[in-house]
Amino acid sequence: MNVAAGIGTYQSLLNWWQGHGLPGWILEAIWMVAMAVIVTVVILISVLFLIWLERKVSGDIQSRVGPNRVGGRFGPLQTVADALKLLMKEDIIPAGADRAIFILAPFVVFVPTLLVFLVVPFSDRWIVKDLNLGVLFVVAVSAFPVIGLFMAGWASNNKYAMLGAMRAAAQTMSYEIPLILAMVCVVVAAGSLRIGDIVGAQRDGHWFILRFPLQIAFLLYLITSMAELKRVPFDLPEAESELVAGYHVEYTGMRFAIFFIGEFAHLFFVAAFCTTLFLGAWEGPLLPPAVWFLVKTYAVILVIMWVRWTLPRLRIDQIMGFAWKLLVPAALATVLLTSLVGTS
Amino acid sequence: MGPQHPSTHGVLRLKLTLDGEVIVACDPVIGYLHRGMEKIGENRTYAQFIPYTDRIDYLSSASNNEAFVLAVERLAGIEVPERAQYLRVILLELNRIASHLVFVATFANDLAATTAFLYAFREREVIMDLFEMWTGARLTQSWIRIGGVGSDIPGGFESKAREFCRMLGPRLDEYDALLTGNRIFRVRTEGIGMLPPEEAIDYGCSGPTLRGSGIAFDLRRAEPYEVYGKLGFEVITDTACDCMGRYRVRMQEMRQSVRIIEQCLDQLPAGQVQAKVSRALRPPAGEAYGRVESPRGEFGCYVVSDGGTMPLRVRVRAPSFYHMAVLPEMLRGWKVGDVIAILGSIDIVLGEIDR
Amino acid sequence: MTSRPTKRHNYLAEIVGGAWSIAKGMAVTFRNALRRPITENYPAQRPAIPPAWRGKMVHKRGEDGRPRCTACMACQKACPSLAIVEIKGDEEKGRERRATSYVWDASRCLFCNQCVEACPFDAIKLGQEYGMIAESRDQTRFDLPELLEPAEEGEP
Repeated sequence: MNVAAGIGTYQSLLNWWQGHGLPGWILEAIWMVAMAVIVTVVILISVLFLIWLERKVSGDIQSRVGPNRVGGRFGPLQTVADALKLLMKEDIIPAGADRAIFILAPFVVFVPTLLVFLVVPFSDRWIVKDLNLGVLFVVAVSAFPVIGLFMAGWASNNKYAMLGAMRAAAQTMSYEIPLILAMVCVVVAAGSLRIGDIVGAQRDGHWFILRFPLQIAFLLYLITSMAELKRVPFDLPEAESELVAGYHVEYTGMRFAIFFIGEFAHLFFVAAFCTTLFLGAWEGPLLPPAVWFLVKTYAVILVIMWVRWTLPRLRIDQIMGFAWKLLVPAALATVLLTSLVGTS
Repeated sequence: MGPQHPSTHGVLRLKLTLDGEVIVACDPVIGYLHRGMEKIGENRTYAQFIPYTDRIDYLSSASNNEAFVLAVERLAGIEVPERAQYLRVILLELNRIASHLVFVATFANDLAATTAFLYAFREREVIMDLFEMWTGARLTQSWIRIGGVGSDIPGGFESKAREFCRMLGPRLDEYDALLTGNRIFRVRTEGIGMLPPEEAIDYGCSGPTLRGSGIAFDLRRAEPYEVYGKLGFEVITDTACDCMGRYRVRMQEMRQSVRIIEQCLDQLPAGQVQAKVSRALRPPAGEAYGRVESPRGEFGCYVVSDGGTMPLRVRVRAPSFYHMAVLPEMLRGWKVGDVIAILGSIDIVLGEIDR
Repeated sequence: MTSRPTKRHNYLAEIVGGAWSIAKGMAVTFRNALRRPITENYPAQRPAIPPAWRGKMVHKRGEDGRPRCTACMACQKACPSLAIVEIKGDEEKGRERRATSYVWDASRCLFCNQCVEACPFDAIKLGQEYGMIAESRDQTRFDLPELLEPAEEGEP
């Protein structure tokens, strides 16, 4: 019951392939493409489901029904309808905008979000690539979307979009530090950057969330992730009801849809990674591991949505103050505590 | 900050001069909702003008009716039956609660607590149902007529109203748990948008905006009209002078309004609900000023009669107009992100500013 | 900021207090999530309209089945917004007269009830219908045949 079994599938396939005299690199190429397609499809379907779930959950909290028309009584195809609508919108690129960067920006934000799913263990045998530097890979790739935000704001040729992008970038970069430190706590506790080892260290119900002081790291991870996702209470960069428009104000149709899908894909990743780091990933009795993984991930997602629909928004200077004056010291203290107390 | 607002204050344009993030000056531009109410008043009979008064401050239409009708009744020397007076107070206080619920909803929505917005509107729906049951309309009832009210309360109204009064208290407690005590809400509203009491008086502020700066002036106490003199209620003040203070005043006022409604229902005497008033009323020449404590402050109607069926002049004193005048003072020195909170906390309605 | 000596103590108290207030708020939303939604699923579910509702104008019939309206124009005089456009009556005089045409413009009407209260014959009321949809201006005007309430059983 370990992650190497996933590699075992590839290995046996490679043996069969080379047994027929075919060069190994072709199989590798096919495998990579197949993995990319599968991961993308899984994520897109999850995103469709997540957007529907968000609307239903917000409806429940607010004493109303969410979507209930498209595709039956629970409106499951609502997101499909919305995506089709966005596809049919006119594609406007503002005059004076930097075309190349304008077109590239949504992808710089979206693609890294897809890329990090490489190291997410959906089950004991399904992880695309169990890199030795799993956590470091996640941290590194997660830094890319910040550039995308900036590109979007700059290329829009709109001073309000630029201001919004600067705020978004400042917020994202500030919250990365406590986020990374929270992940460092887990790495210290597990003794390795490799996802397989982190999951292994939580075997048999010894989930990291039960280990002091990793509860604080868990809270830190959740809070900083909400800020990274730019969700309420940290959604000022996206909030149009404030004076300055968001960084993606000039984007229409499918380009906007890519930002939007990227945000929800990031949400799914955050929750999946949280389960991996703190809740023992796919571990659990009776049900198959993949099911447990999804159950835990969706539990985290529901908590994040719950918070979003309860709290008001913070002002930008309060957001920055919160990060630097509270979270960074707390994160540093937790790392110290973990290295003193929580190693396995 | 253009005329189109995602928040429901109305069509207002604020020209802000900024120094970085800090506001240096503010120039409000109004008039987008001007409908010529006062001019219309010169061309309608007294009875015909009442539906127009509804639409001045559309969130609490009964207060507008009341101010105009008080002025006209003073001019013409009309006595209103006691039952009608109690019914008017019930209508006015229900309107007050409805208006304050809209305030809570839009204030929370401006600060991105969308859920509180929907909860407040859910409670307001019950009030709308009460209005529907009694007057036949949800928002602009125009049910306060010269000499009384449009009709008596139907059977079943009293029990539904009492049930609403019982239900509202716990719901307000929920809003307290969700908003008032919430750290983020407090950080966004405490100490923001200070309005010193002297400045509030200088600018002619009234209502919760004034009482949120610690001055206990409520027209229902200072110059009781209808049966307010016989009812027991507290005048709510808050010494905080900030957005949170004004918010707290309105929250508490809702509880006081519930008290008033219950007292009215208890003390409701039998009798007529409408005095005999000619449809083509000709009040003697003269002038009168009727003022009421609307949810926003002192709403006044100055009516000049020349003896004809139509008034010579109708002048409306809208509280939001004076609060809009003090807004630039309140905004100076704060950040752009606070504009929404401060604007929301003074609870303006463009309908009455622009008329 | 608080004064220096108590700063450290307040800092921790603020954090705990803040977290607790957020938790209380989340409990409220959670409780509400468990309540049934209050949405009425229009158009499958229609709202219950109380009898006092002021909707589309309805002309009442007298004992003989004819409209009660005598074309006395009292409603037109009382209307603040010129919503009663045209009233025509037959050749009779006084109480015997009956309206032959009565054009009411729903787009001008304020539904304020002044016309109903002005009518000396209790001939009109603002009824229960709320869903008036028009696709052009001329569809907002209604004449007497459309406004007259349905005939009773067995009446002419």
